Amino acid sequence: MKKRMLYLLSALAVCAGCVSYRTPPEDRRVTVSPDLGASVWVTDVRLAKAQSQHCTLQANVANNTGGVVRMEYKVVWLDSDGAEIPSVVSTWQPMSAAARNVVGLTATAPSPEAVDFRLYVQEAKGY
Amino acid sequence: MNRTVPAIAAAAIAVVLAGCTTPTTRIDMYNDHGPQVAGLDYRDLQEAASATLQSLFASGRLDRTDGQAYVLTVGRVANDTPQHFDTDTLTSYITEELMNSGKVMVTSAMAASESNRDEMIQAARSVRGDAEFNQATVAKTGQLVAPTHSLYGKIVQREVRMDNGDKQIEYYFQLRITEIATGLQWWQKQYVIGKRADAKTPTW
Repeated sequence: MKKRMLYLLSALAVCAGCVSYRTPPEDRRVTVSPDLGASVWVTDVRLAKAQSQHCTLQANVANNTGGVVRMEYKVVWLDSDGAEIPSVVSTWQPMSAAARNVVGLTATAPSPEAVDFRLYVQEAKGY
Repeated sequence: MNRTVPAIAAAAIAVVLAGCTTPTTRIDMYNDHGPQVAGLDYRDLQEAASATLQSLFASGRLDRTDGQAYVLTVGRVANDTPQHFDTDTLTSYITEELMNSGKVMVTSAMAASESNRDEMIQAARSVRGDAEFNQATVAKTGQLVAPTHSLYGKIVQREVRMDNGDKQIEYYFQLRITEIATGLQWWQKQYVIGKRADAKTPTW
């Protein structure tokens, strides 16, 4: 009887551990490079037209580590057919997040034709 | 024997020297992970162009309800750095993207620098009345479109000596657009790139 109770408690503990473990949010439009691992998560990805006809992308980048994480991000803009809109706007841009901080990422489309995007985040090089 | 020894020595030196040279390689312009340089390179110009363009697009200034495009002239963008480079390397990114947006046309009839003016506009008009040219194909008077806006600005370099003897180099990209009819500043953006390097590292 005692043994059975022990198994039950162990199973509960394992399950509780599974539930409380935080997993990174998944968004098919966002790719975080493996070199960053789980050190940053991209959350709250929103696309809207504010005071302009051009779409603006906003997202939060959460630094899960105890140190500064230096990154680069690139936004590739897509038209309604899913075709890439080539632009100098889609070059790697630097950003950094202090320990355990959440920083905002903003990017504006180069054309009103842009309706979708792909966001890439990677570890910054040369810093 | 006397001839063979110097020939072998020369060949050996040539082999050694060839081994010392860095082979020429192409830069991967899309994923360049090469080391940073103290001066301004194409990555800095692309980054500054991207930031300023996004500021302009997000401002809503380019949006018009009448379907017409603004006409932009490229004014003076001063290179206030000790580095020798043509500021068209920056403004070309800006004008190209503005034209691609469909909201701006860039005039080649009027510009601050010669390289942004097309002298053929005047040359083609100089043949008015020339019997060698079919006059029906010569540009008529009153056809040129005056600019509605002007892009200008400057790139500033500021060097600060750090406590440890190294230097901090700050680059300020300042771009502005003026509405020509009113003279009012219509949009502006300053973007800063900072670098730190050994005091002896030249930026030029």
